[in-house]
Amino acid sequence: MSDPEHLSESQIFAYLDGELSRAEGQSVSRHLASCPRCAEKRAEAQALFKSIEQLPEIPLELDLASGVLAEIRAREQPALADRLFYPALVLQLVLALLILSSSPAAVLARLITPLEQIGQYSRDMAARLPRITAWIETALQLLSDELLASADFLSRPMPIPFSLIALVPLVVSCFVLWLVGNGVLLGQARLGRRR
Amino acid sequence: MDAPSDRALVARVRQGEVNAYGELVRRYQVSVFNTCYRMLTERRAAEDMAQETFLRGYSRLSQFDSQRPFGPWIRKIAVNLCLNQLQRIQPSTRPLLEELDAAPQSRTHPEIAIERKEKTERIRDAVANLPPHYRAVIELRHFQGLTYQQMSETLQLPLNTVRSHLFRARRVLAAILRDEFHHPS
Repeated sequence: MSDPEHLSESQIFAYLDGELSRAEGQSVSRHLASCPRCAEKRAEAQALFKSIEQLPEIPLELDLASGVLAEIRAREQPALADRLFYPALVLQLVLALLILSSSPAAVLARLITPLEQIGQYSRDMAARLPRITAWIETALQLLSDELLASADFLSRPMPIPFSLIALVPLVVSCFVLWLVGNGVLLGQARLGRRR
Repeated sequence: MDAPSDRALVARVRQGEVNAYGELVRRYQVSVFNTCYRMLTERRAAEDMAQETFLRGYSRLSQFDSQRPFGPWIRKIAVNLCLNQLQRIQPSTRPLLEELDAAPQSRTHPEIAIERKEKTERIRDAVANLPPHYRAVIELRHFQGLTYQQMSETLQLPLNTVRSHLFRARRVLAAILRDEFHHPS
């Protein structure tokens, strides 16, 4: 409860802080000059302020400058990455387009080769049919010799209609697309963080 | 040869000379560290926060009015960063001043602070036990000399709230330190 005869603590604080208007300050000064009780409260407040403000500084045992500068340089590194981001993205897109445009031709080329091999295989088989008929007609004895003679034929690998090599351009294309996709996603994530 | 002024150093930093900022850090690192130490009351935390303060200052240098002194500006950043940190870890932890006393004691009660013998320790202790906003206004008023209006702008609090925080903080400190004044060593 404030006493109208005396200054409040907040008035004394404001007076010492220089936060009163000129008229208020003069009024408080006059009161302090004539009121021992308020003058004592002011002295207590001044002692409190002095105690706080005389708190000594403690020494800093390390130099912050080197750490701050190192951190600043480290944080500025991403700025270079930002500048390179879009050229790298464009480069990836161009590469992806180049590989994708060449892929159909490469796949077709790889598909045509096995088809030719199948045709050759069929022609060889047809050429051998009369001889096999002759074998049956002449004698079973020749069978083993013919089998031996045909060993090289049997040992020939069956042509695979779709060569695994034909998958290489597809795999490369997918890989490039994956890289491009990652680049786009990373770019979006970066923008998201900035927002 | 005279050392370059703060304003000249700031201008050089703005032109891309990062090393000039190192000189500013060296000039103000002790005062910024002490500001953080008074707010956080732990040496290691204060060192980390002082470094973070200078990094924040660097990133905000474009907003700095070079007609004004650099020291108060960077210390105000420190107070706000410390206040943010204290509010994040509130209300349970009020770390001790590790340099004051190796004896393990809880300092959550003002009475323990009163038992301390050294005046400096007692005051540090009393400030350390204030709530974060009270600590901030004590720091800004008594160590940085800000007016109520400047404190209001720095802490982004209404003027009356600042006045109230400061009043209450001083009353708490006065109560804790009353024994000191009545029985000076």
